[in-house]
Amino acid sequence: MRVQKWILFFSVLLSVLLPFLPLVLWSTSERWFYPGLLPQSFGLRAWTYVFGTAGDQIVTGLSSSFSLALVTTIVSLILGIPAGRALGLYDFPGKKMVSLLLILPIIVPPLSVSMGLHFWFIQLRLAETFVGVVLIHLTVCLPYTIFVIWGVFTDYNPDFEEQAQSLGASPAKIIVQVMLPMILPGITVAALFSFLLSWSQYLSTLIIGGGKLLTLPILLFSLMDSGDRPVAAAVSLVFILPAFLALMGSAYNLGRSGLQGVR
Amino acid sequence: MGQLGLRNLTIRYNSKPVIRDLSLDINDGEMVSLLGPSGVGKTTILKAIAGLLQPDSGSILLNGEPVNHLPPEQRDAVLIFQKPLLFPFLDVGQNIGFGLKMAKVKKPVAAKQIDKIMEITGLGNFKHRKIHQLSGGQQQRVALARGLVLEPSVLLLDEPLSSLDAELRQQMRELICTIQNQTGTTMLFVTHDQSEALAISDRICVLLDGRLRQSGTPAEIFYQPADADVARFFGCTNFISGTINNGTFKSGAISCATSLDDSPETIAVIRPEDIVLSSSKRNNTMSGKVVEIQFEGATTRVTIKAEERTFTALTLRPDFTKEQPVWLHFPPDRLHFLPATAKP
Repeated sequence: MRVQKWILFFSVLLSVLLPFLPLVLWSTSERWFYPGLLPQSFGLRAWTYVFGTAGDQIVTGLSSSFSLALVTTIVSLILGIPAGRALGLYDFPGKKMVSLLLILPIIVPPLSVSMGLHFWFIQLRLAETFVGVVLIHLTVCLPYTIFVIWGVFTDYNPDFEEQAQSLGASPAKIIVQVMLPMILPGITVAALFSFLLSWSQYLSTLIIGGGKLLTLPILLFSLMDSGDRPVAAAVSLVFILPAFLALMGSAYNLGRSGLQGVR
Repeated sequence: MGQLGLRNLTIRYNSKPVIRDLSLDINDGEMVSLLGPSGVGKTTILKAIAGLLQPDSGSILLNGEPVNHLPPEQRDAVLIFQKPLLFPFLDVGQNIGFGLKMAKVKKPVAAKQIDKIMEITGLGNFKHRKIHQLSGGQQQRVALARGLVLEPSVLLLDEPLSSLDAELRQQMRELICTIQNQTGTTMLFVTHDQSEALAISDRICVLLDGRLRQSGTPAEIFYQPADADVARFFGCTNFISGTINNGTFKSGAISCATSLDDSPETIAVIRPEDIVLSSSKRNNTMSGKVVEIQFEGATTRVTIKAEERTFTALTLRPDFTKEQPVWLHFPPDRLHFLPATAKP
């Protein structure tokens, strides 16, 4: 049993960490030409570039990516929780239609969605603004949030709320003190999805943001374009880190509160 | 203080009336059960009193004041559901204190009240336990404590014992009675279990087909049912139809003095355990044949066919055989006459 567990542990570790190895190698290489299996010489040129020369750019990119993802996540939760609740708990006319409409932005290629909305956003003066980019990110994030919360609510017992109400909880308190704690694991998952989806948006940010909003993916692409592989690898690692932290954080949160004892 | 009044309450579900014209009064400190078969709308009544659904007509009075317009959180009635519904993200103490927290009771005061109620409900050492660490009976006790700690005018209990096994149910029954005696909380207890209602209540309200059929002490309901349906609901299927003439009820060989007015058609009921089976003819006897015997442990249920009618008798002696001829003796003082309007 012990051995099996270790094998499992290492294979998971390997499959998660192995893809990062080329990135680490690239980011620390000075010269790496065919047919060398490993770089011919190592150095920290890429990293000094990332944290030194391009440091300001990277920090701006990080902060705009982070604030975009955060705002998008919050808005998609605020809209997604009531919508998911309605879909999960109640039957209403047009429910199938609503669910189809929700899937549409996921099925339709993001390029067409962004191009189509760009036209409208220009007219509404939303193009090249923070709000505009949040809105275009929401077209991707919101459906996922709603689907996750929908699933959570199909398994939710509204009697808990009636019980709380009879014990003297006002509707606002029921939401904050009963509903939200009950669905916290679902909210964590939905928030993680939303955050990571927004974090990794490139095309939609580029089209709607028009280059005004320099997020990390946009910086990354421009660096890759320049053909400087070690720098692109270093930026990629910087790009992955916050997402990785968010994943670890939510995994910790899920493991702690868990779903045990709900029934 | 805890008085509850229902006046002509009608509740519809999908435009079909579930509860029709229900009027009921519960006095301060009383323990009343609402007894009826499953699906008769008992839970609906409790939800209406708690404010979780609006009655279609009629009014609900708490301590003499109409409360129809009040939302559930402002009504001084707490509903305890069939399932414990304890919040899994809170521990036992926090669950019990939930209502106090909602009422913004100061923490030290709340803590004292929580400790006191945990003492009464026998949960002394469980304050910091997680909900999933409790057994079903303990969870139900926490649910009870969570309602009791608020000291509501009326505590509404919706079959809180139905999910427990027999032994535990008995313990909880006793606990509820003890608590009721100690705290004097007015309680309305909903159940479909006759024996539970008989054991626990000061007064029973029998609800059949959405109407209140009879309300009275357990003994009254049991021995003097208002109509045949109530009698049947309590397991009494022995009906004898006859006439009353000059203060005497007569049906075949059976006669018995009564104070009731003369009537050409009267129905008498007798409980299965009151029928005396004997091998010889006596006064007030009918001859019959044993049709079926069911051994139930302490008693044996004997079905007897006599004079085209079927009687059920409970006897302590299981020494009967099928097809055996027996005499059924009906002790006159055990016959109960249904009011003229109530036909089986």
